[in-house]
Amino acid sequence: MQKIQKYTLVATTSFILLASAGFISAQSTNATSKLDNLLQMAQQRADNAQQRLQQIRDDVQTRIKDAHQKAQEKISQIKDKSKQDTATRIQNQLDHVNQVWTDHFSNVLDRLDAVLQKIQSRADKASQNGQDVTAVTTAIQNANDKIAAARTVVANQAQNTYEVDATSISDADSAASSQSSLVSQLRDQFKSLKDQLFSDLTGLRDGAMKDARQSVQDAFQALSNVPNVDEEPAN
Amino acid sequence: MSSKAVIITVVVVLVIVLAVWYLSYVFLGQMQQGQQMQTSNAPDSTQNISSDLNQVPSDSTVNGDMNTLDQDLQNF
Repeated sequence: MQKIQKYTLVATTSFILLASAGFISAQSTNATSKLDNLLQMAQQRADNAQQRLQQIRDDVQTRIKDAHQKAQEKISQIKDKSKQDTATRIQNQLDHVNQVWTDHFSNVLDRLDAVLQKIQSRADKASQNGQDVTAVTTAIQNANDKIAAARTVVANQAQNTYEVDATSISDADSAASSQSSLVSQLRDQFKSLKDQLFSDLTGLRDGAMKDARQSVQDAFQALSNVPNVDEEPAN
Repeated sequence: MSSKAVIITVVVVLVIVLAVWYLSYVFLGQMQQGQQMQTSNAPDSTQNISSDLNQVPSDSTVNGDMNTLDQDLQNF
């Protein structure tokens, strides 16, 4: 009988200790999982945007294949090997620069989205602590809208193509004047395409992208104005 | 088993229960206080958010490709 008493005592004590540990653990991990959920959703949006960009690029490659080949045929008529290589490089570089910049913009938007989720998480905690976060909530909504709008503009930019119009360039023979004319026509088109590309990309950078960056900065500023914002909620 | 032994056992169990819950309460309170003091380490503290914002890539990082294109155009 005494043994049964001892076993009961040990079992009861063990159960209480385990229950206490579980209770404490649940309390401390609750706040972290909320932020994790927000960040996971942001990552999902980033993955979707990346897949969308890739799909657009695949479509663009199919669409410009013929035009690209015809332009390359004109370039191959250049007898000067050095200039021919440079022309090929310029033609490829036009598309490459567009891809690099749109990838960069997409990456920036992903990062801004993740930062915004942390601002949201901190604002939720401040609200739990009884602080007024109305201004932060408004700023976060505005930033969400600006990021979504910028993603659309980036996707549109990825659809733009910068291809030489080979049909407007005369065929060339090996005569010096003919070669000079061919190079001149290609140079004019390259310059025009490059100017258009630069204008489109800087327009995006100084427009929708700048708005998205500023909106997240504004949300952070609104958050920083909340008193005792870094205090963790009691539960 | 005597009634005295039963009473002692019940009292011991009650004391242990109260002690465990009291220690849990104190421990949890210290953890929450610790979180308040260590908010600078929380991923969503304003300090860390500010740091994250500063680490968002600048647009100047992609200027290099445009410069290469410019250079090739000048040489063509």
